[in-house]
Amino acid sequence: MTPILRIAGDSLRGLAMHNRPLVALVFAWPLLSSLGAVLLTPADPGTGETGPPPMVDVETIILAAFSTFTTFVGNLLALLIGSTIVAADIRRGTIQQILSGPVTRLRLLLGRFCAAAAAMLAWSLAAGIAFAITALGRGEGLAQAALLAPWLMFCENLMLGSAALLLSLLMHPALAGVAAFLASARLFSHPNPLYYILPSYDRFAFDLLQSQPVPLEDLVILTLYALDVAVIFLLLALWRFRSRVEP
Amino acid sequence: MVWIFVGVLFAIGTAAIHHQVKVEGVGAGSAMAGRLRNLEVGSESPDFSATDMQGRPITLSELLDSKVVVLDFWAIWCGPCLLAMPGLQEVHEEFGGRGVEILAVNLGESPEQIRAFLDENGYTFPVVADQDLAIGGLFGVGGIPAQVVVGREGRVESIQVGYFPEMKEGLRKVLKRLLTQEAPPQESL
Repeated sequence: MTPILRIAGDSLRGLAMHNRPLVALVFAWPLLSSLGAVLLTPADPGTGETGPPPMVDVETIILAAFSTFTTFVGNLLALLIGSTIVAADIRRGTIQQILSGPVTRLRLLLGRFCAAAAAMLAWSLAAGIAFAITALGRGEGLAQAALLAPWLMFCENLMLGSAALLLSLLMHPALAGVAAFLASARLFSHPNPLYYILPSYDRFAFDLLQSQPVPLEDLVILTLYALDVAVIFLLLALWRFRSRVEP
Repeated sequence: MVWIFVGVLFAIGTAAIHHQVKVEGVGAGSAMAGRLRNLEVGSESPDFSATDMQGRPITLSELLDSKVVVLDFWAIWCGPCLLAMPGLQEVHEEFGGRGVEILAVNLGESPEQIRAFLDENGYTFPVVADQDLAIGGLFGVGGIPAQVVVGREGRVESIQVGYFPEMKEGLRKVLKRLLTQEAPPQESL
């Protein structure tokens, strides 16, 4: 276990060193949401205004867009990290050098994926803080903003990242990121077999301002589903990694 | 041997989890048909009492004595809900005199906002303001628009969450089927 964690730690440091703008984005997101929460706090309806109330709550639309955008940025990060975390070394030709040390392919792959998962978790934590600040400003459900939405986002990103990792061993990393995003069951429906084969990312789409809390039982099933999909993709990636990178 | 056992367990677990997500429809996504958080097609509809925008008292179970009821959960800020409204008005005009009651349940907005919206758009079906989300919570509405069709026996006959262009036709089909099946004795004779 320790070698895997050591590889994960090294990979995470490498990620942070080479992607400083992304690290800055993770820290800036809660600050940005604090600013948004202050600026977009609904005005007291009892003061001053006469005539009919506005037809569209602009603040709600902006905050819904912020929530969607936060999720989308998380997805992009997962795809970016997943599709490059191993494939970049293969493309640079440094993978042979890494594997010449006392490390197996399994440990390398798991270590790298753990680093990717840690980065996704960091984004989910940042998003959770941002959502919680937004929710506090609007009196929305704090628990689902701070826990439920970020956790579902993390689960979704875990699947996206592992899909991108697998596909990056089969094609160019940029194409792998796009393919992982598009290879979704939401494009198909029963009885098309692809609906059952491809991951259902849409089950994790949680609208902060619209959706009601997900029951604990469903949350457990969704978490197990995400882990299951990630494990299947990682097993396939390991098989491909072994056949692609000869000792 | 151990790995074979682990592999079989993993396969069984995978099948069970995927069945829950793909077939049973477990998920937080709002684009789910046939299921709300608290009920599904075939289950008994919860009952509620409220007052509509014209001040008339409404009790769902009393309406169901003589009518098929279409509950439409919506809000003014929800773009897809507004897209579904004209179709709902057409269905109201077509089926209103034939034993169908359309009841639009607005979630979370003030009666003043709703009244201004209805006046501006000329919708004539009854609307209930569910300001504290009590009715929405009773039905387990997670995403809107959500349409629930309740038959005269009080059973949920159809649930549709989200908007799509064929929505009105789908609703018409369900209502035609229900009106044929559920015609009261005096009509069927």
